[in-house]
Amino acid sequence: MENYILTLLIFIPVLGAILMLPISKLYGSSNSKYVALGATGIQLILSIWLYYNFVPENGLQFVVEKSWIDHFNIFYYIGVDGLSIPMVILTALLSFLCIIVSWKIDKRPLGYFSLFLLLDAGMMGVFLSLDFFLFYIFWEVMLLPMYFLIGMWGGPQRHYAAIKFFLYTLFGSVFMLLSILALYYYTAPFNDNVGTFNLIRLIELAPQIDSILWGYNIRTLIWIGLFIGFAIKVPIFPFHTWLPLAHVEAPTAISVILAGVLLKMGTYGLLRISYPLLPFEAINFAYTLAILGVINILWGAVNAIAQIDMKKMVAYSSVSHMGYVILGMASVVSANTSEAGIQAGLNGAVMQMFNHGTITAMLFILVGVLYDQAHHRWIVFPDNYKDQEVAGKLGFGGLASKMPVFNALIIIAFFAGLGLPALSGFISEALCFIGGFSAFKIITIIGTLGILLNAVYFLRAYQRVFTGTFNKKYDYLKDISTRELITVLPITFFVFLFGVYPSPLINMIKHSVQDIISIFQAAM
Amino acid sequence: MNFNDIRILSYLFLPLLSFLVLIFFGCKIKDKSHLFALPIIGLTLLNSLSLLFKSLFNNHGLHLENSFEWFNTGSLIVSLGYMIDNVSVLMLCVVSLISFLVHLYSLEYMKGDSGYSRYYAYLGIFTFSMNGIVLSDSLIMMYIFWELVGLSSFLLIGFWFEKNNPPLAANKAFLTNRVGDIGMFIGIMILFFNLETFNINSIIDSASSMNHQLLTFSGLLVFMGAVGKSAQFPLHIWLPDAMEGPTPVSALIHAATMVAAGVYMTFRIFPFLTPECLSVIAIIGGVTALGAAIIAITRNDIKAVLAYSTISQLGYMIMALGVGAHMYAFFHLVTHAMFKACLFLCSGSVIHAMHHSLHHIDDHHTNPQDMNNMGGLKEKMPITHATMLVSALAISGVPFFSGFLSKDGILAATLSYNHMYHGWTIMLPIAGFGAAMITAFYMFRLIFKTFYGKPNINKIHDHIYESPLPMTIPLILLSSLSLAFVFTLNVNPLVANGWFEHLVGDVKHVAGLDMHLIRHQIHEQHNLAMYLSLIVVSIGIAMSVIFYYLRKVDVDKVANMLNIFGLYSLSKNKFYIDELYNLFLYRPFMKFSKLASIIDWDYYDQKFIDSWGWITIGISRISGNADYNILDQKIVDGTSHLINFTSKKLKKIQSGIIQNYLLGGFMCLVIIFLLIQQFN
Repeated sequence: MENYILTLLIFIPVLGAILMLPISKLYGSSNSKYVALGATGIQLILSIWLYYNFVPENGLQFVVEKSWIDHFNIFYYIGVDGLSIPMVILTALLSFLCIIVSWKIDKRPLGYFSLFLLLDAGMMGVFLSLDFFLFYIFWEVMLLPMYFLIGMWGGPQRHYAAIKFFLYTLFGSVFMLLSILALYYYTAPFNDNVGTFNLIRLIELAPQIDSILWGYNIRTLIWIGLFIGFAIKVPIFPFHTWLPLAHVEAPTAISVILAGVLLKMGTYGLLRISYPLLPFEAINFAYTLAILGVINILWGAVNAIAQIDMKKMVAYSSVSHMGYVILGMASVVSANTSEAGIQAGLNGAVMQMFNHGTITAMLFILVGVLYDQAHHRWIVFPDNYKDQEVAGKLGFGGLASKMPVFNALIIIAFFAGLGLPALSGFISEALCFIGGFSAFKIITIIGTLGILLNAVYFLRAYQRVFTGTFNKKYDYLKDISTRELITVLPITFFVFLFGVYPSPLINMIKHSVQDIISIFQAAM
Repeated sequence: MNFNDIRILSYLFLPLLSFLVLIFFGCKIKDKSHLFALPIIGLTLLNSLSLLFKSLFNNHGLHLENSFEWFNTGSLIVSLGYMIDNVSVLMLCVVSLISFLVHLYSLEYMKGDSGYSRYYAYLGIFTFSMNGIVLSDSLIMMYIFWELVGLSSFLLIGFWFEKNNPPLAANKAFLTNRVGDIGMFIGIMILFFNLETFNINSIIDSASSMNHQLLTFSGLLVFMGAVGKSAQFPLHIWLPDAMEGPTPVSALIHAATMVAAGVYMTFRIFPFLTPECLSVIAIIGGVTALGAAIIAITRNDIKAVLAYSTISQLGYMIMALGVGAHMYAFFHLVTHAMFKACLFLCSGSVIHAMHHSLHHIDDHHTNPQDMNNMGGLKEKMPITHATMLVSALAISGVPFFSGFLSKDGILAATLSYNHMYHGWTIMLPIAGFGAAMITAFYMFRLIFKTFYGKPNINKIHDHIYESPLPMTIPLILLSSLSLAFVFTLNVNPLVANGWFEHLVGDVKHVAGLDMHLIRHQIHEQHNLAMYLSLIVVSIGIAMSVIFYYLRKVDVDKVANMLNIFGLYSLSKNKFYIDELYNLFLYRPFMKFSKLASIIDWDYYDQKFIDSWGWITIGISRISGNADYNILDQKIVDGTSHLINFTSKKLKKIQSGIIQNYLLGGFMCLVIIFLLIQQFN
């Protein structure tokens, strides 16, 4: 089992997608969802098994290293450590739940579910790869299903959103590819003239690069290339504008995956690749990173306040919340001055990746639940709204008494989003601030305004939609259904668990984070 | 985990249990919810009282401490723990006592409300988080419960969510509090990075090693949390709006306990607050005490008067801390909790009666909280009247009532502060005595307008009845706790301070304040303070009697006279602070966020980012054009056209006439021959 677990995690969805073809031929394509449920279910069970057999102190585990393309020294090299295991569990969990979320999809179900499984495989692959080439392949593999999932099953502007998402990410990938190749060629002299994509080996090799190109150190150029690739995914300001569009247009389940998992790939990439490989550049760049993080926090929140579409508001809140991760990561500067600071920052960043994944998933699913019934999700109607007569003059209001269970869940989700203690968002945000503060005082103090601004839009939306006079037009709304409840409750559990008792999460990640910290302590 | 741990943790887990059970199974038990909530809070009360007796009869005072590691990232260890001393025991008693009485009171007040079980659930989570603040041994834990208290306040203010105003008030409260919390959080971070601990006692022990200016700065930042929670100027704006919540909630949260949490927290961190920091705190307290009292004069809503009075009294406590009289600040916190809770519950009783009367005559437009609709309720509601009178006397600082003891201490402290530092500090006693006079005035204005005179609307008056027992028992109990002999057998504060001083005792101050000197000075000023306060209070009450009881002077005329200087308008419009915030903060910010979203989407994304797409499309059009129309059509096809053309022309040479071929062949030979010759 130890040798196959990770491979199974990646390829079970692929198997599922293949199996779907005969099954949908035999039993009709609407049954493909059962295959998808089975495949992601097995994946989830495997990831739970992985969690129980994972020993945090041991660093990289369940490693598989098989030669793949000999000539270029490319390996099928996968493994899991404290950085990736939360992401693996998150991916498996959200994929499984998202299949249930998309249970009612009746437009070309075979296409939808098979693409979803391919996407799932790609995401798993990204988090498990330890070979840069393999990483890149999974990174790109994931793009294509995403393009179709947004472009075919999305909202009114789906084509535009899909192409924008695709091209924007591809634009970043180009720079990433250049950096990969540069690493491959420039490290060869230190490795008996054999180029390598091995990310663990590169930790030793990459800092030795000392060539100059166009007056710049190669390492700086590689860092910038990687950064652009990852920053677009996060998305870090000013590369963030694909996100609101893609999130709004994508179907609910895809928004969940997009915000819950895909965004984390950017920060995961920075932590897994940019940071250990190029610690000097990371330190030099940390100041910029901190500023960008704070801009993300504030700009995302300020924009979210102005939104009148609930889904777009949640999308901008993602921009804001990912800013915390970036700010936490900037704490590397204090590697030697404050160990508590850097530990808070990096652990906080990884935790925030997981916690934002659960919180934002909850938010998107709940907004989707409302949208499925009401067919709109305006907080207030826009001035030029065409269907005023259809929807009634008033927008939502006073839904709390109509949908009590839903109301309770949305209170939890909103308050988790605004960082209330006892819910998971608080600890990771606080740790990110503590980390950021250990390195950059003034910038972080400006960033703490996010504590206030994030509360503003969630509370405003809550007040507009769920309280006040009930609009009789929405008398037909029903409370959340059992199926939808099944999708939300597991995430709610995690939101509470890691808010009250964060130790399991921290213990899982802190040893791997410590490895990164020791790289920085050596580099300072 | 020993017996004490379990006993202390029960303060947290019992109310939490009440919350969980009622929120999940409330729909089942509905009207019986109190049967679950009341015993639990009663148990908490008994627990607190037994602890209080323990600390009262223990010469060395009570001191329990323990902490558990919450999580660690290696070097950063975050623990949760409790620290119990006499002060926290007293605070626990106050919280659980008033919480218990409010539970009891609500039994009748909230009867028949559709959210009955939800109401008790929220009370549970409030008690849980408030106890958490009191027990906290570290600033980070305090911050956590601080925010949770904010949540319960949010939920309870917005309890009647079907109405339009309560949710808005709830948002305002939460957001205003968050402004303060940001400062508190930054302050905690600064302290942590300088002293490497969150634990309050450790911070106090090591604070002297910290840079003095930085300590001042971080102290002020942590105090910002108290400014928000205790509704101090300039963050006081949320508290009057918070009166949208049910009245028992206003009594519990927005008068007696939660708003006092800011004072409690400042009391806890008091030992490491530097003198500079404390003088800022004193100014804020003074401004709040006087300003809120002035606003309270012109309120007509019975709850609004009490809300501003609460702000004003909290200002007293904060000012007391600022001038170094931490003991009196806490003393006033306790006495104020009793009489203010009583006042609010009395007002609730009146509103309840008004509401029922209005309901009876089927009037849904008259405001049951407006004092102009009341009057002459004394005979109809004798118990409410008596208890409210007692607590009004207490808050005004009349001898033989508890307020007299605590307020005199604070006033003496401001006098002694002025005596020590001179200069601007004269403002503090002026604010203190001024607010004392105004407090006496508006409290009796409230009493007279509500209970005395002729009923303003007879129809309503006819159907007013005294509230039932569950509501009057808390009133009687609380008003008897507002009597001076509860705290000391000797009413002269000069001679003895009763058990309270013994219990709270001294604190050591580590940031440069001579507590011994302050204590001595306060003692010296006590006589003066007492006489002065007796004078101002008598003036206040006398004016109120003239204006509102005897009605010898026309109030409107006085108001108009004062308005020559704009004084009346200032008070009536709450110093325009809400308007100022609206004008300079809220609306510009909302405009900015709209603008930001337009910049972000309509300009940055649609114009700038997409322009790259458009440019690429444009270039590819041009290149596609060049590729087909020029390269393909002109160059590639052109070549073939050219060949075609030349071959057409050349075709003519191929005439089939043998002589032409021979001539050609010969000519070629000649050319070759010439060429060969040339190169040789």
